[in-house]
Amino acid sequence: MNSTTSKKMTIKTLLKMAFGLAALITLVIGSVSYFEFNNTQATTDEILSKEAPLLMDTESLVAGLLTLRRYEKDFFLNIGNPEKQASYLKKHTEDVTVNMELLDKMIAMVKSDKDLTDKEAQVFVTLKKDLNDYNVGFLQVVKQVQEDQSITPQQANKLMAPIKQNIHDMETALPEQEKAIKSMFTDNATEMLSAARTAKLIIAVMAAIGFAFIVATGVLINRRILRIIGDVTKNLSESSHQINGASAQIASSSQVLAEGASEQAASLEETSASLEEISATTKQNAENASLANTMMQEASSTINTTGETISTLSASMIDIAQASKETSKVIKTIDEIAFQTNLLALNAAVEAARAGESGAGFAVVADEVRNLAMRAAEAAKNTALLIESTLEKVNAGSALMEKTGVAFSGVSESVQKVGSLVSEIAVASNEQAHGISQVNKAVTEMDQVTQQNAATAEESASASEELSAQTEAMRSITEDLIAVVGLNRDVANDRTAQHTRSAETRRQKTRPNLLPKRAAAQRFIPLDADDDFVDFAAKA
Amino acid sequence: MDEKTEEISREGKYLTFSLGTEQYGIGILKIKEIIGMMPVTALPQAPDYMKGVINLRGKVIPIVDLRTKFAMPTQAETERTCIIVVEVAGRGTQCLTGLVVDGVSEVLNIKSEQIEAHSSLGDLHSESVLGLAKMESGVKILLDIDQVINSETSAALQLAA
Repeated sequence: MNSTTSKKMTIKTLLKMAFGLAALITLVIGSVSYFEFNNTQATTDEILSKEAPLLMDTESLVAGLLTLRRYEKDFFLNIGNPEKQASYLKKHTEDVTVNMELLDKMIAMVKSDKDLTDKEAQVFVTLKKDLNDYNVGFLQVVKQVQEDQSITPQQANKLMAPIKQNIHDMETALPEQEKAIKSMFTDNATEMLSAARTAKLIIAVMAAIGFAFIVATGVLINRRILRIIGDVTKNLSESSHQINGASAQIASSSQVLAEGASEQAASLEETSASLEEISATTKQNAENASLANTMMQEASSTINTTGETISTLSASMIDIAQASKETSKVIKTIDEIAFQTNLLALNAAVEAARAGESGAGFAVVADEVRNLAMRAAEAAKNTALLIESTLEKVNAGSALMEKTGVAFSGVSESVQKVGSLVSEIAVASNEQAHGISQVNKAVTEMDQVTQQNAATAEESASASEELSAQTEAMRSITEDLIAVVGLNRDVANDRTAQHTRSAETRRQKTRPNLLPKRAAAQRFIPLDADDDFVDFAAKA
Repeated sequence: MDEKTEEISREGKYLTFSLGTEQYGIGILKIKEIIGMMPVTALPQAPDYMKGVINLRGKVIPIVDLRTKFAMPTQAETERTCIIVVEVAGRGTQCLTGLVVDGVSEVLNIKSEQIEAHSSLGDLHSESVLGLAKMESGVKILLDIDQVINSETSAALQLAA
């Protein structure tokens, strides 16, 4: 019996079967008794209702017939005394009527009796006919006697001779019939007695078998139930201890969980605060980025304006260079004129020299003219130099302007890029701020959840304490159950003591640990007689 | 001619002109006129210093490149390049000759004490040089233009030198 539920029958099945069988046996005994007594009753009934009355009626009929014959004799003996004759006739007629009714009743009775055949019924019909014939004959004789008062009783008796034969037939038939009925009555009684004896025997045997079976089943069930309840109690006790340990663990775990949840809640609050700071910073960032974006746009427009100004300036410088070139041409013309003038002055000087003394004044003029020409040439040369310098500077400026323009367009592009980047940063910062606010919300929810967790953990701790109390109650119930089942207190205590061991020893469920259990169990269950239990103990 | 008269004769007005880095002077009475540079018609088989001829108001006059004549490296014409037309006494007649110079400077009145005689220059053959005028603006080489134009050998000698 390694398992009380799988290999062997359950208590439920066992009880069902036992009570079913007991009920069946009771039913069989009852049925047998019922049928036997029913038979006896039927036989008795037959005897009482049919055969006994029939017998009695037959005897009455015999008596009736004798009375009839007496009235007949009295009638004939009183010839000459019509008053007495009338009285006897009347009595005779009444007696015939009574006997006829009796016969009718008997015929009906015989017909309804299944034990009697039609032939027997016919006997009664013949009897009735005989009586009727006798009556008819008698009435004819009475009629002759009344008409002829001279007839003597002897004569009348002679007249009655043929008619009396009917009565004689009846008188012979009736005792035979009575005898037959009596024999049938006796047979029935004998049969009834034998049946009663058989029934008694059967009932006795069945009762003995039923008693033996119920006692056997009761012992078996008792033993099995005790075993099962013992196992269940043991398991229950163990379970209650394990639950107790587990509930203690749950309590401590819940405590730890609650502490952890509280710490988590605190951390979450810190996180929330940090997140709010970050959110504020991010918002500031976003605003700054927007501001930077605006400023970058302003800078961009300024740079564009500057670029246009530079372009204008460049054009102006090109114009200046052009103008300088024009001026240079004019200066060249002036220089040429000065050169020609110089040549003319020199020629004049040459002519004046050739003229000798008369040309002296002219020579002075020529010299002055030449000086002027030289000065003009000098001035033109200086101006040309200045203009060249200006041109060079203008060219250099122009080149610088171009470079500056290129640089500015680069700067403009950079500014635009920076602007777009800054606007992206602004957008990203806004999104970040939004995201952070969502995270903050989530953290707040997490905080709530954590606080709920903490509360739940505390509840769990209290629930586990409750569970511990419940297991204590369960253990006391188990002890009660042990007591109720009939295990003695020592066994229960032994089991309880055994089960109150620490969890470590409980987990080391090896065979040596089972030995005391088995010894305890043997006190109320004879284990040695049951190989199954040995098997169970080995396997448990 | 004695030393004194030579001295006196050298004193007078000179037209100075530049040739390379040096300043030269020619006696003003030798000068006919000064003109700007004008197109020169080159002559075949002429010496290399003969640049060619020009038409000066109906007169065809030869043009001498004085740089080539003095064996100086040639130089492209500038705005200042001028032609000095001089009267050269040669083959018994006065003939006009154009001298291409880098540029004319001025008419200077040079005193005899300012002139250093060419004899002080030692062995240097100096038939074409009258002397050296020590002026504030620098030393001017005074040329005897007749000698310069006529002495065919002078250039060769100068080259040899």
